[in-house]
Amino acid sequence: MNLLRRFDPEAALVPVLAVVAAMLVGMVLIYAIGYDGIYAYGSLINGAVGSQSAIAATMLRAAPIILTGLSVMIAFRAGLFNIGGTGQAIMGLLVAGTIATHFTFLPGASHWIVALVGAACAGGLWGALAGFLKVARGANEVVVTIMLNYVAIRFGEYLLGLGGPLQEKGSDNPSSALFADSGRLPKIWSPDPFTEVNIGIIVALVVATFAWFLVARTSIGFQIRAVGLQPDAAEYGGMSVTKVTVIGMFMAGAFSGLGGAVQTLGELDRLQKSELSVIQIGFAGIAVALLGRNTALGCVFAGLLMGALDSGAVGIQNDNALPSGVATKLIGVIQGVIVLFVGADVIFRRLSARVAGGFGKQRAGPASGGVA
Amino acid sequence: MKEFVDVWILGLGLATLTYGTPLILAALGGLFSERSGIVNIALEGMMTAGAFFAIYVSVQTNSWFFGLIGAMLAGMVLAAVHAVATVTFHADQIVSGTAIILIAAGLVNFLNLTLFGSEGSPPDISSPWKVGPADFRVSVLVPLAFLAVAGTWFVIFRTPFGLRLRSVGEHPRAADTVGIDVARMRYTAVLVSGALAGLAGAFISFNVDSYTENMVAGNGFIALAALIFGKWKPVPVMMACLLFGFAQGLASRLGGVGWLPDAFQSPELLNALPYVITLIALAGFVGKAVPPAAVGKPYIKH
Amino acid sequence: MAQATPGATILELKDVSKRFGEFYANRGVNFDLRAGEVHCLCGENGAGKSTMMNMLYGLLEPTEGTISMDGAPVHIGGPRHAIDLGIGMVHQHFMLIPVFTVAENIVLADEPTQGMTLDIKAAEARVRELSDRYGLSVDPSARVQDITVGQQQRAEILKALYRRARILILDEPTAVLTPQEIEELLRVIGLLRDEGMSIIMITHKLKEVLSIADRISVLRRGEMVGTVPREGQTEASIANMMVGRDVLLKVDKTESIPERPVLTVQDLWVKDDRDLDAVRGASFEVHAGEIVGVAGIDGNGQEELVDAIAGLRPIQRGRITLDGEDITGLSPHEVSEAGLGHIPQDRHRRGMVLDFDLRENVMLHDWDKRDMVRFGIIDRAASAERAETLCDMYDVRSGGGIGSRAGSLSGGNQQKLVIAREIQRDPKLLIAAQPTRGVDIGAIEFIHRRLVEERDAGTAVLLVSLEMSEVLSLSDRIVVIFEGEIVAEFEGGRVDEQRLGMAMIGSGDGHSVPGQAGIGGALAGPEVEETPA
Repeated sequence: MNLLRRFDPEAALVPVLAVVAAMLVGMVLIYAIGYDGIYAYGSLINGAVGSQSAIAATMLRAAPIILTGLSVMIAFRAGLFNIGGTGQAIMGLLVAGTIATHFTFLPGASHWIVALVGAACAGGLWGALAGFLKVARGANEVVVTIMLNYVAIRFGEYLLGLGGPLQEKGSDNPSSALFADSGRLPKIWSPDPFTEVNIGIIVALVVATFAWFLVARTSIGFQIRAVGLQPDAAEYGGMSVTKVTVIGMFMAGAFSGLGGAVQTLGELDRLQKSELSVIQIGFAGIAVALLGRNTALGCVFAGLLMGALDSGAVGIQNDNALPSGVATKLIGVIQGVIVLFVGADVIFRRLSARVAGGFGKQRAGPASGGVA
Repeated sequence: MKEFVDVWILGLGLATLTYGTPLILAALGGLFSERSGIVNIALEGMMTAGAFFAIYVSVQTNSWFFGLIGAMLAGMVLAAVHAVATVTFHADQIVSGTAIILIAAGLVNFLNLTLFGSEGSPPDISSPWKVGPADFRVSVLVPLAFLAVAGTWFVIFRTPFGLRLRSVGEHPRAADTVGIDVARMRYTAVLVSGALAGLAGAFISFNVDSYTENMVAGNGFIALAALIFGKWKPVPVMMACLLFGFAQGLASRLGGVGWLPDAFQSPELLNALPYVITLIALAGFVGKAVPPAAVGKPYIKH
Repeated sequence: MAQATPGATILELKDVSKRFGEFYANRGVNFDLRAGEVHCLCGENGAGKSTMMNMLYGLLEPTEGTISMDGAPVHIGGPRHAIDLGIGMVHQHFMLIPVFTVAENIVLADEPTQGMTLDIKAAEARVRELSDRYGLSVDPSARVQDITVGQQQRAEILKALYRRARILILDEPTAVLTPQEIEELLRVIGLLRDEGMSIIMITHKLKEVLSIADRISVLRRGEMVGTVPREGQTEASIANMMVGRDVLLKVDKTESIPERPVLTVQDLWVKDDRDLDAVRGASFEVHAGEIVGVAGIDGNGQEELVDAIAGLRPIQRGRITLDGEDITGLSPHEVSEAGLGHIPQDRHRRGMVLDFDLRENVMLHDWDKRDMVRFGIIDRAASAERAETLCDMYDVRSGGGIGSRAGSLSGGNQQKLVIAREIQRDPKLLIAAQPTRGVDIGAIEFIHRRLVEERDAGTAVLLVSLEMSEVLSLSDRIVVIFEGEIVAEFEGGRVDEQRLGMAMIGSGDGHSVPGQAGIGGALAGPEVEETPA
């Protein structure tokens, strides 16, 4: 989207500074609990990009987060804040998992492809429901999408719980039967026997390209942007704000649904009840979209970074650089701090204005002084 | 008959209060914040912090009272971050709130693991006094929450402070032109919001005398829904909280009822009930809820 | 209120400048206010009047220069400080909280209390006392959102009086008032002056200036042109100071040749946002090849009327046809397909997406047109070509060509872009709502000429404007709207301004109302066609 023409070095700098600042906060936390921050970060980097296996793990984990990031991005473009990625991902993975387990009649690659399409539809409908409640009933989309998250979690837990319709017959575990091999995502690269990268990362890149094209080049993307920027002008231009909002949220939900499916069909061999309440990719998607400055390309980079942090946490765990389980919590904090700093980017803009102005006498105020 | 009264009147009443009280405290917090023009979706995160620090400080000092203070302070620290980001740096309020939810969840569980280890908090901790008749004992925080409703109403609608607070949420520039310090009012309101949300979290963890991950379970968001449903007015907000509390209480009691179809006895589906009811309330009956006019918008002086 | 020696200088600005980045909003301004005078400050939109007043009220800090009060330099740190110094300001956009009562608004930040509680009874009593003393009648316990604009303004003045202001700044106080309310306000201003209040009134309505001012200062492009006593000034002389050359009040055009009716509106009823009837049984026609002007005071249903025709607001009752096709209740998209071009009154909200570039704004209606979109994909080359053509034809100037962000253009260039887009659609009916609001004089002339050309090409043009001079100079026929009804109709060119003014305030029978004479002149702003001196 006119990346070069509108290149604004200050805007590009913000995400970088936000990440650096968040990593520093993380470092302080590590020292605060009496561990060696430098060593822990060494393990993190090692676990993220230190070897072929580490890079593979990063790619594996980045795929679903890129997808949920695109979901938040497209909703932002339509003027909506989609905190509902978790619920949409769950609806997607439930459908994908069911197809992967039971639709064994589908030949070859069509099996997993149909599973992904099903996931996109399910997630899309869950997202469209939130969009509909927003425009038709005036319900606050933030609260609505969060409630829909919890409903989706409980619904999934019911389906997979003991005696639930999707639970494996005759089993004592709250989980589904094994996915058929053809329903799982095919692997594309396996640097060692324990690590494999599946086609999920390709799916994410294809969807990112699609999302870019949709937003920048198509009529519906044009409408989504108009509605998101200025609904009154969109209405004047003859667009239906209701229709565009619902379509925008369908797209957002579809991307999240794909994210859920890519994660589940790529990393698990069956649906598990216990996985539902610990899904992180919805909220991570918010960090990705913000860090990626609401562009498709930005989401890809930000998603890879988040994937790296995730696999880095495993690196910390493996090196025993931090107590068990602490690393993933730390990554959560770092994600939050990134979101905070990107959201409050004026901090950096003021800092850079002050540095540029040589601590001049200018009073504190928005750096971009407008005419009153 | 005795059993019916015990289970369905006293039991359900008690459950309504147990689930409703933290909602009331948190929603009042949201009320202060939003009346001043700052959306606080981070209530959830502030409650999480309150829930943990109530237990942690209570264990450390062997005093539930200090536990409550600790919970309020924890909520206020996060609230201060929210205020700095949104009031001083004009960050999007939803984005900042999301960040704080992520930070709170990560940080609290990080601390829980490092301070308590994987076994969690010790079993015997000092927890707040219980008050009330023998078969209807409730935490002292329950009457406190109702007092807070009355207090909030008084402060917001009957004091100069409340008038100024509301003016800042409705039309900050107008407030500025008569000399009200908009930023200061908003900081105050957001900090109060954090303290109340912290207290709400404390109630949740003291209720079971321990902290576990994800124990706030969306109650911060339900409180936000109650705030909208109650149209930003203390008493209607309290009623909305009690309604949502009742829904949770009902969900917790319906499990053993024989004449209900199987699906309705699934604990998971019953647990979804409060969220569904919240959704229906938001989408179905709210009508045109008019929030404070300036809510969500940063105030930028000339 | 505190008394100073009448005629003594109580407030002075010396060489005051205010700079935003590279742009000087005020430059080397000298100004003084004497005790007990009404000092009018005139200037066009963007001349820097509001910037100057905001510095006086502590909302902006001067970049250079000094402000003195009673001979001593002061640094006005903020509104609170200004209030403490005895400066009160009635802002152009009222600083009132709609959901609060009048009394709550007035006492805000200086509340009477009883113990911890707000003493609202005492507040209301104090407001009543002040309103009786100055004849500013308003109900202290009414909510601001339920009272008229005139009453709201009185509440604003009371707010200053409650804070014991001795200097009162009124920023464009008559812009939103009905003629009767203007009369009433001028009476109150006179009364306040007699009580010793010193008043700065910002306005560009020359009639009012001449009727109330003791002295007149004129700003042009941020610089003070001069300060003159009222004696000996005429509307023309002040307009000359404001614009820097002589101004004329007419547009060259030939007699219109109306053809078939294109727009017919029959018994139209439309509600406003508060669910009250805003348009009440309006009926009129616009023929091909004529410009019909809708005259009226702001808020009499013009906006709702236009929105209803364009499909942007639901219609309660009535029928609208466009070139024979019934467009009642159609969507904005369908109405536009049926042949409507619409220059909306608020280009920042409706007319363009400010964050879109010019190319995208030019295709704002065309997201489903075959010549711009194929299989759902936008033809960038086609849309760029159209944007280039239109920018050339309409002389839309921008920093970066058609890739410029629309929000970065000047008001005049933005409006030219909107007009270009709407005319290019070759509409049967062109609605021009406030087509020259906030537009510089050169662009105004251009826009007026384009509208007349469109008419000559056989388009039906419906012009809605609050600028009386614009309606008078462009229209072939004028319909007057008052409280949502079409109350009178005039032939263009032969308009009795007296009768037109009467019709606009709902006194269409011709009986004279004291003080209403020449309302047309009072509303005529300086933004008229120019001829180089």
